[in-house]
Amino acid sequence: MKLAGRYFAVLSGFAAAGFAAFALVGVIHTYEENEGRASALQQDEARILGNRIETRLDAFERQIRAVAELPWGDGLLDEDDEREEYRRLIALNPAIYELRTISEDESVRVFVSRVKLDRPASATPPHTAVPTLRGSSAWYGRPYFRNASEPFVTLAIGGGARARQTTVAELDVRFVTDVVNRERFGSDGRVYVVDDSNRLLAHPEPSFVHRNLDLSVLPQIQHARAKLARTAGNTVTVEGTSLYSDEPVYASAFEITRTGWLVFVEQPRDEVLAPVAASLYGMLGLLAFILLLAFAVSVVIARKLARPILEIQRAATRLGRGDLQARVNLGTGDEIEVLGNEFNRMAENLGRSYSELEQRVDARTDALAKAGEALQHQAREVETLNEQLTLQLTELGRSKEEAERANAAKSRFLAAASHDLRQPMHTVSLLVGILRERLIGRDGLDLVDKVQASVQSMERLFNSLLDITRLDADAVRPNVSQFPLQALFDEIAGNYALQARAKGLDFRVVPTRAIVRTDLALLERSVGNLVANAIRYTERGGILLGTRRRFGGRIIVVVDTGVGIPEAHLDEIFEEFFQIDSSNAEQAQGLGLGLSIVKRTAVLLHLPLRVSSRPGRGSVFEIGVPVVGEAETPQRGTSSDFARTIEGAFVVVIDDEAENRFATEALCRQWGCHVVSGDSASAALAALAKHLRAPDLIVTDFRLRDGLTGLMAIDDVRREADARIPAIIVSADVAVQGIDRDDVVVLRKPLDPAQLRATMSRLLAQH
Amino acid sequence: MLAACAAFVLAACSVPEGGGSDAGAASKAVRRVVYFVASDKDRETGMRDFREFTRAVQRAGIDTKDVSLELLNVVGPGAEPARRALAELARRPPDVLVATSQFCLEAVLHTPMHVPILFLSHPDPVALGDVVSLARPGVDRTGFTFFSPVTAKHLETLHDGFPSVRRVGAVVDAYLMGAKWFTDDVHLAEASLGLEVTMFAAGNVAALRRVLATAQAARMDAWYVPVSEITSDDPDQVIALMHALNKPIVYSRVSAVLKGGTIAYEARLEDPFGIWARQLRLILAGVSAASIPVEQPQSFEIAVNLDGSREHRALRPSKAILKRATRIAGAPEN
Repeated sequence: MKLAGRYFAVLSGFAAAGFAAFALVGVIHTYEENEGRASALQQDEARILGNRIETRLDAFERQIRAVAELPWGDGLLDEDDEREEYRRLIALNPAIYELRTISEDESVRVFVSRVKLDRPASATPPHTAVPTLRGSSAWYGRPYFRNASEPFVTLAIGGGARARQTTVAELDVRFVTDVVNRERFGSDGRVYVVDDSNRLLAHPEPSFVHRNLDLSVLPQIQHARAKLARTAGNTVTVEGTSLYSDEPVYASAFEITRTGWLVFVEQPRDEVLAPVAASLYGMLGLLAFILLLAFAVSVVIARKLARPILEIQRAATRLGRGDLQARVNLGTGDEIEVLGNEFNRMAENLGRSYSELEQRVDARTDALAKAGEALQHQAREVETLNEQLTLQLTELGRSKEEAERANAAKSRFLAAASHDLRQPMHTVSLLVGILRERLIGRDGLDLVDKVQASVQSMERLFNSLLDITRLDADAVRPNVSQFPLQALFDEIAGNYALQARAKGLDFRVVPTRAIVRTDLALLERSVGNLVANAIRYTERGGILLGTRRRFGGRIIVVVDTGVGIPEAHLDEIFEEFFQIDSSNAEQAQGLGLGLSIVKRTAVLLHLPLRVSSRPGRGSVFEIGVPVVGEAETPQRGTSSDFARTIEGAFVVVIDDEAENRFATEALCRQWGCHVVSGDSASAALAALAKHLRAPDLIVTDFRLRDGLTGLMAIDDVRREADARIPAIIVSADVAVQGIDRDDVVVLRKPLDPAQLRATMSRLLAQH
Repeated sequence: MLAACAAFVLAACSVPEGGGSDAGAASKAVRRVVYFVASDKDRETGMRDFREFTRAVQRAGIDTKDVSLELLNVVGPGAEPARRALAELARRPPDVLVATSQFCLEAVLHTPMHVPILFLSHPDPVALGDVVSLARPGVDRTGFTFFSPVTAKHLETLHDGFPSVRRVGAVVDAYLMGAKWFTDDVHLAEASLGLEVTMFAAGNVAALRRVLATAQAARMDAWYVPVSEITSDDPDQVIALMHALNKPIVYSRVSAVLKGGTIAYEARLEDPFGIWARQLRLILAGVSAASIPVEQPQSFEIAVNLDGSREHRALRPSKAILKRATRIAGAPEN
């Protein structure tokens, strides 16, 4: 019956579309007609009611004016006559609550009331100030609520040409309610009146009026006021919401111009549009009938057309289920019979093709079975190989773990051994320094220089080994800070300029204003290694240390005019103990650890490192550094700018190793310093107690006995002297590198006497 | 539409004493409204008023299928019968209770039963403390009052009707004797109109009979009979006793003139049962009685009885009052 559905959809679609267009036109027409008619009826009703209220107001004015214009000032009539006239007016008009005569001097001359004594003395001032009126014109005040619940309005009438007085009446506005209450509009329509300030003045439900309600928020009142202000007439129709709920309403308003009151007649929109809804429902009913008819016609047509098609469908279903003998015999004599014959031919062809296909499938199945056996055989072989590989991988993993354990043990051994080896090396270095300065003979000096050179070479070897060991042992923790790069350059220049010049090389530093953020000590060591390397491998020309801008950052460059590096070795130079073959004795001195340290430090600090070189022309090493700002002028370091003699300085030496303490103390004395020493802070303080002078400098080992440290000793001496005395910590301990204090200088053992002297000189100069 | 009215009023007014009952749910259940009358003499008056009230309820459009109107008509001397009846009523309180007199209202207020009340009062309900204000009662009760401060106007009417009158006797009860608004108005009238008013306290007919027999009463030129306990309980006997004096008498109820009284000035309340019915409709729709204004007299009427005016010249009213009269009873004998 899908065909019926399709026919039904087409037929009903056309029918519904046509009918919907017709219905839409009809509904729109009905809507407009009803809206216009409702608007006209409402406006008529509002106008009639408004006119009735105006008629009542006219009557009040006329009657009061008739009394007010009597010749009161001519001496013919007196106040008793006027009072009687007022009493008569009140008796005739229940809406008049009070009447009074106000003289030219604003005094009350006559007063008549329904509740008070008819004496001027009983009169209270009117609720609203009455203006001076010309002739016998009328004036209405704004309605007010007596006893907070009963609406009243003040009406004033001028005394006309003959009497210069004003008659003021207080009117009970209930007469408006009487007019409103008599009318009922539609089944749910209602009539009400608001005053010029939109307060409810009359309503079929008196309780609403007694509440003194402000209806300014109702949209129909706002729209009516706005529309009346724009149009010349005094009747308008607007949309709004019900006084009781959010139900939409159509409302027409008539304005009583003399008072500004609005008479509203309103109906719920549903009531106004009820004929439209009825029309719409009728149209929908007709539409449903048309659709039903379309459906019935569709079923009849579809059945007639569908029978042979369904027979073909059933045969096709049998064919699909494997019954290749399925055939149709229609005999309709039309195109569908031709279709049936074609179906039969197709079924025959399909049967033949099916037989051929079965034969091919059998052959192919045999071939696939053979291929499957071969694949199973190969799978077994692969499985065997896989097991062997798994065994080998397990073996490899075990070997790797053993290698890692051995490497870690090596690192721990080197870290411990280097500390223990540093102590005697430090002592030897200091003692050689003393010896050199005490020897006078040329031969002896040469010998000591050679010893010193050997010691320095050994120091470099130790330092390099230590650095590598610490980096491998993962013992280095970057201490990141901001510092001017120029200070680092100055430190490097101070350490290597002399060495370069001694070799006849030009050493130049390009000033920089960059302020970078990284670990100062690690970067200084890396750049120092690069510069030292450059000096070692350069025979002519010079070395340049500077920076370049690149990609918003800064790159430190170390350029030399040395022997250069063959391109084949550019990757290998950063490996441990790698050295380019050289006949030069100096170049052969290195261990090949410097660049390896630079590489590992760069990785640790996440700094890009790059090298380019041309053999015979020189090399360029680059280290990228993060820049956080720029100083106004290049900030020069202070390390090499100060050169004060240390002679005469009062130095405190603290070291728990007697040999080290002796060597340091002897060296300082040799440089002309006054020295006191001790194996602890307390011993040094005891010795200091014999002196009146405060010490100029403290030189202390880091790790002292009994768990004390050089930092504690420095603090003790400073506290006792009550001065911030410059201090140097000398230690072989790796952990000392982590001290985060800027009021001490840390030097590593073994220490070159020249380095110690230079540092002492610098600190004393700064102090 | 009624529910819509209620919703609007609820939205427009605050509900101080939990008056916001569920109007939608309430409209489905049958609501009990009890009309409470207490009298020490007869049941007929209460039954007659109840029938009037029932008709007014129907006129107001209240569907009586949803509302059960019940009469609680208590007859007996003193407060005890009313107290017992109300105690029984409190066991199954109604949804609304109509207290048909000041006595009924006070009896209900002394019963532990919290229901919306419709009441009437002759004195000022604000001065009595029964409501906070007429426009917004503030407590869960509303109704209407006959009170209007027209005491001076009564005496002025007497003075205008009978200008020669100077000494006026006033028949009052204990409440009026102590009501400042009443005595102030009396003094104002004395000062403005040149009258000399003497108060005669009489709580019942026997007492009235006694005071009228006194020599001081005999010296009075005219009498003033405002609404009091005695005029409410025995109006006919009071009128008969006063009529026998053959002196001008001003009443505060037109009905007294229709029964033979001389003259009356009344602040009238139109259709009091209709007022109750309208207020009941709002309460049943869910509006709190505390926010429904207490209604007060809206119109004023001067009534003159001409019976006996020819026989007794002293009872012939002035032309001025006749011209102002809104109702003339009787006819002068030719």
